[in-house]
Amino acid sequence: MKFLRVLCIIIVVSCSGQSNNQPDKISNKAFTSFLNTFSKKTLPLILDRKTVFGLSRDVFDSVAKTYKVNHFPKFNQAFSIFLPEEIRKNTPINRFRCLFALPIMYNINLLIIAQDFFQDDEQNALKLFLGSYDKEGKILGFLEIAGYTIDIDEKFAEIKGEYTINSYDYRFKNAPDNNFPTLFYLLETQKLFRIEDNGAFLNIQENAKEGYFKGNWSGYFFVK
Amino acid sequence: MNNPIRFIDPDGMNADWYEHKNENGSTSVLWKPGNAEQVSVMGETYNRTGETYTQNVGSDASITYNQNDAVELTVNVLSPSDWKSQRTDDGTGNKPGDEGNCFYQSGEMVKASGAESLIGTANNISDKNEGDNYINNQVDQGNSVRVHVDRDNNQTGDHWITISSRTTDLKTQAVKSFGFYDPGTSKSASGTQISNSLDTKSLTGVTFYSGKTYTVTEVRKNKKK
Repeated sequence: MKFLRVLCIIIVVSCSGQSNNQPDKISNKAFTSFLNTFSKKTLPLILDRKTVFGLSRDVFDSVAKTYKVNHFPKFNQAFSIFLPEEIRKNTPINRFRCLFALPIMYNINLLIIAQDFFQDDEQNALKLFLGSYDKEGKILGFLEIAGYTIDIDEKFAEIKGEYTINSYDYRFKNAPDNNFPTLFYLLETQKLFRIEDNGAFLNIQENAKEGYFKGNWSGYFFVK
Repeated sequence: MNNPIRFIDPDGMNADWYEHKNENGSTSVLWKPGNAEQVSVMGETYNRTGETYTQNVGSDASITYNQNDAVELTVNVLSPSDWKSQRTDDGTGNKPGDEGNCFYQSGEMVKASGAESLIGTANNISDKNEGDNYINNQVDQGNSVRVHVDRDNNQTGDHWITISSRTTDLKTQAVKSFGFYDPGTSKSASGTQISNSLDTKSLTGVTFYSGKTYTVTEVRKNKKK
């Protein structure tokens, strides 16, 4: 069995490197309208497997046994200035949705934004971003924290009260031994980020592990 | 097979299941008071597994205990090695030809149970109660069944899956759910995931690989033996 573990302390400031291309002056009204589109959430916020897949476009109400109307508003064209250029280019604006507004930290607004991907009319991928904005709406940081691409990779996260983020990234790999059909063979990468007072996301710890995992709706758990 | 070695019978409060992996690869389990992560019994360390425990009874059935009450019986008509996929190994697309078809791969899984799923829509059962009874009857005979499901909420079947098991509530003797194997994923652990099950009241369930909800629209009959 291949087993790999790497531990790195303090690596790089993430999320920079993206050009924002925002206008010099953002109207207060535009940013307020954008903020008001998000649902307020308290910390800690746990984005485990069940939650992440439950944020797909068609959400099923297991009690009412019906599909809910998507209750997370799609971006309108005016909101496109609140996405980094690299994220919004080549993607229709209605593929982005406004999810959660987290408690304000150091006068910084923290927002969770979804990006939907479709193949053959079915949602085959979802990305969840955490964006940090100053009080005028300027993008300070943008980090992909959770999501999935079916059968390729899955990513979950927990944002804690002290504004740290644990992220868990799983990449599906071909198992070297096919005698464990009920176990997943995965490369797991765990990262710990700290949200800085300038809105940047600092990757302060990272470790990786490859092997067989059990899976359930909470996530994946290393077996061997 | 797992072998429970002892049942310590306290007052039923604050007890949990613990297991120990033996050197020969078997597992010993016990149920005892307390909720410590580990306990030591006769020099062996047992790790806590929780309030419930599922014991395999041979390869075709299992009993689930909630504390020390037997609460569910699951009868399997397929094993994980019977699972088939319509997807390529890298998960990026469907296999070429018939092998890339969910109907075909579901039929192949029914074959693994020793039955033959018929072709032709005339062999579909659309009535929910009739379909439910048919699946029960086939499981009684050890057969799997091919099932058509709606996965995009338009009341039309658009994917085929295969019944893999049946779970009965041992208190009420009512059938609670049918397990299913899903050919729509490239990962066997997703396709055979234990949470892949259809509630018998609504004949709906969520598939693990995509999180989509399936609603049964038709049950396909097997060839009479």
